Amino acid sequence: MTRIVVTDRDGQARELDAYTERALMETLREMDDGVAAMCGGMCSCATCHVYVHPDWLDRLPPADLDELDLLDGLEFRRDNSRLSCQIPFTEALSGLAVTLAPEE
Amino acid sequence: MSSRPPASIVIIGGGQAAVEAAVCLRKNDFDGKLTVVCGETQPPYQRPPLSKQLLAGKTSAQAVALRSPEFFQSHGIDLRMGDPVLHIDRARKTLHTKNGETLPYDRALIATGAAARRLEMEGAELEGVRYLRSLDDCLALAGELREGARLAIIGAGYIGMEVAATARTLGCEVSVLEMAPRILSRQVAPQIAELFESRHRQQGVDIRCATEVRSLLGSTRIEAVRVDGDTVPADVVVVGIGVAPEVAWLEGSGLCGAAGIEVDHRCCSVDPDIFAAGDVTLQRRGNGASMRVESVHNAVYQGRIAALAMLDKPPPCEEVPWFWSDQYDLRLQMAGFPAASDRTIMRHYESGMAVFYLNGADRITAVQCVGNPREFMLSKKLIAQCTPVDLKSLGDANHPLQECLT
Repeated sequence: MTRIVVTDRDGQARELDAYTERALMETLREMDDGVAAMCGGMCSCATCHVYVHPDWLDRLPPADLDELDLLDGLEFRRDNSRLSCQIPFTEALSGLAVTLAPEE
Repeated sequence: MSSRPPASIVIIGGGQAAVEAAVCLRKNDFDGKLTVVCGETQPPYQRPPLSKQLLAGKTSAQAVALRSPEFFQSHGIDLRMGDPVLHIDRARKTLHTKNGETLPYDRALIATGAAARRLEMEGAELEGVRYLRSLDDCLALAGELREGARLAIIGAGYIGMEVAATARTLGCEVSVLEMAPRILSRQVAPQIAELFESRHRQQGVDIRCATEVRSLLGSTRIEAVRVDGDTVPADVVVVGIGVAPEVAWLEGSGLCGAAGIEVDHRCCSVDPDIFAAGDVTLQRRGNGASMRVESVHNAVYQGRIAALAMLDKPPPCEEVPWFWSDQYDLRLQMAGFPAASDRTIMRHYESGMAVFYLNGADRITAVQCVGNPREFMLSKKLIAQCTPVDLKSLGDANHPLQECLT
């Protein structure tokens, strides 16, 4: 387990243990009021949308075309938007800070 | 309705609706005994990847789990896999399982889902004739989709067409045999079906519509499928001819007929302490018809509705139903329910198209969209808000969708 900092939709930041060697989404899905992640991490539904803290953006693998396509459809998209199912979480990302985007 | 919260809730079934309800109960401060009892042996998992990424070997069985084992433990959810409920005793409020357990309940949620309809014809029992509903089905089929294998798919619905796309990417030779005159005939507008059909043909899928399957041929293992006037050689057959609700165990309970469990807007059955959610339910929809809706969104949404209703809490906000299907690089997104009398208007994009369904008051009731997630998301909102639209500009994709509102 490795720590991440998640700001929820009420603006409360909390530190939690994240699963490593799995998608970040899998950790966020298990929070109370976490992400819905309806398609199960298959980059099909965009219900695991997060904002990545700018300090961390460049340290993540870049979004592929599928992900960009889906982000395109989101009303609450920002420059630092990502789908958390497309972020493989590793120990190297310990300390990662994300904010849960509003539900569409 | 009882005034005190229930002390024990049993959820029958372990799919998306069941898990969502269990999560939602705990989120809403239910601190009583919570049991999930399910006939399947695999811990709860998601089904959408079974015809796509998992079948293609692009993800693992572990990655399709709905929640981690730790989650169920830490949330006090007693998960009992591999032990189907065989009987419900509504008078005593008990459930009886195959392993001989008796589970008492104050309130129960039925989320047993649906099972693949079986093919009934000569040769249907041959080895290599497969269905795709469970994780085990998927893993078994994946083992047979070797490069060069000849796959015949019976039924051109979502399962059939998604498996066709996956199997082509794995290098199988694929035929699709469909009784109706076109693919996806019950699911999407003809224009959308045509787009998918031409992509499949481009990819080398042999699609045969208006074709009736007569029998399956082989000695112990499938060798060919006999259709009107022809024989299609096959090493593997996948049957995708729809699903039927898992309600046989409820026979005599008075809760439902063979078509599913009729529930009200709170997902409550005729018994005030028995609720149902997901593929197993029949519910009256926006267009007035009582129907079963087979989708992840419906399972999740009804799971939440039922959980809140079991706790006598107000329902969640209303949501527009939606659905998706991925085949090759084509992404189909749909929302709403078209009614029988709806008119349709098309929008053509560089990357695809959308079909809008409109009611008599020029409001969008449903949309089917390929290759334009941005407009899809916006149309979902227009459906929710019942905003009237200008039909002329709607038909011209040069007008951004936001500008089509009147």
